[in-house]
Amino acid sequence: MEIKTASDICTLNIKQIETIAADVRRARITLSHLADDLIDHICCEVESELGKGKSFEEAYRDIMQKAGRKRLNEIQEDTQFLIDKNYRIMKMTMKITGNVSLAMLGLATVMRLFHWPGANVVLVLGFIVLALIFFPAAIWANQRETKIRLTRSLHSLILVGGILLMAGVLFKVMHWPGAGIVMFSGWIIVILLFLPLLLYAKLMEAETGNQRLMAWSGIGGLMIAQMSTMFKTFHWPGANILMIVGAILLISIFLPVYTGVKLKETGRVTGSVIFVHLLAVYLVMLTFLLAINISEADNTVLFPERENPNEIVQANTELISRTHDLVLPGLP
Amino acid sequence: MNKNNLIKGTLSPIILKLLSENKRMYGYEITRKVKEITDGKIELTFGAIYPVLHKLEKDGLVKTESAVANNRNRIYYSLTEKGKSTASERIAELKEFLEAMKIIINPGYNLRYQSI
Repeated sequence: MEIKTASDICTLNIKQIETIAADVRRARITLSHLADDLIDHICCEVESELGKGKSFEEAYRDIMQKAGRKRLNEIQEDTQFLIDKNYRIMKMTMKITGNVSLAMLGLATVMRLFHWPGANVVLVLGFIVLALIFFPAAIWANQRETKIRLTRSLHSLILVGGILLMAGVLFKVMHWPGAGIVMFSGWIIVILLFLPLLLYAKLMEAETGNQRLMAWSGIGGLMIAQMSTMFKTFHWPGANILMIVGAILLISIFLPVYTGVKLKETGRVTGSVIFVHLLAVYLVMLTFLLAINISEADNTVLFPERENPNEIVQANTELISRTHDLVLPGLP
Repeated sequence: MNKNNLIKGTLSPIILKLLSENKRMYGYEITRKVKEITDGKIELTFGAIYPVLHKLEKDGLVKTESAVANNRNRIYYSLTEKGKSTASERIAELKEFLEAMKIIINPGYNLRYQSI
């Protein structure tokens, strides 16, 4: 049986092929010859639709929508999942330990609030599962999906920095000695090594001015926000100013640009846009929580070990008035 | 009934069968041919076939070669020696399975045989 494909009649020009190839590359398809497979396949389908009298844009959009439930990088994940046994194991480990550690941490928080015995054991176990099993497995799986060397060093940096930060928080919560130095080294790695390298990588792959602005404001904002958290934790001066600058960068520059760029790329609101917005809401809430007055009663529940919970109220009142003076000088 | 779920398990025998009858095929050609043979009843998407093709390649059942066609790289798939013998095994398995399915979905078919 001879197959008569429409591609014999209509063929795409080089510019059109390049459009499709660029989209496949943007999806970071790096697995052996999968990119060639997909580019040729999509081109063939578009050519067949062109034969029916559609325009290139129309045909391309229709085909991507038809296959669209599975995005291109999901196809790569499916392939990786089928051919790589270790990858399968890691993904399963991630799913299980991710859920287990979250459940344990949540449980520990409740137990601690109600002063039930054993809260600390559950908390430490949850942290160990999260930091030493889930986190490395997640990074390992991501590593498998990429072949770029820069991304690999990024992965190892965030692995070390992340574990140190998580350990630091644990030490702090458990009142173990050395929390400060552990957290400090984690922050140094994240702020001075990981984020600048990430910024460099993002700037390298940025194609438009908006993408560059997105990288600068997003990663710059993150760096400043992280610094403000660090300053705040160590009670260094300037934390509040840093927090305001970081928040402004993230919320009023990065967020609109990011939403615009993503909308332009995909033509719809994607899951990652919703995720970033949720994250922003969370950040804003956290900042607000830091700034509002926590009632005395709440303080005795949340910080039972403090002798004088009113310290926090005083500190917060002071913080708010200083922030107020900074933002709106001269106003009551 | 979700047709995609039914096709999923039979995908690799289908691909092996097509490759055993053609010297070499590229991905799009496979989907076109399946659509044509089945009168449009089975449409494979690229999201479905490439993971399977890569798995078959990893298992050493198919091999690939690249050629330039219409200004782009085209990857052709063909059976290896190991793939040829596996193909006939898998096709026989599928045939047996379909026969069994026929009996299950049509109970009358089975009963009439016994009553005669």
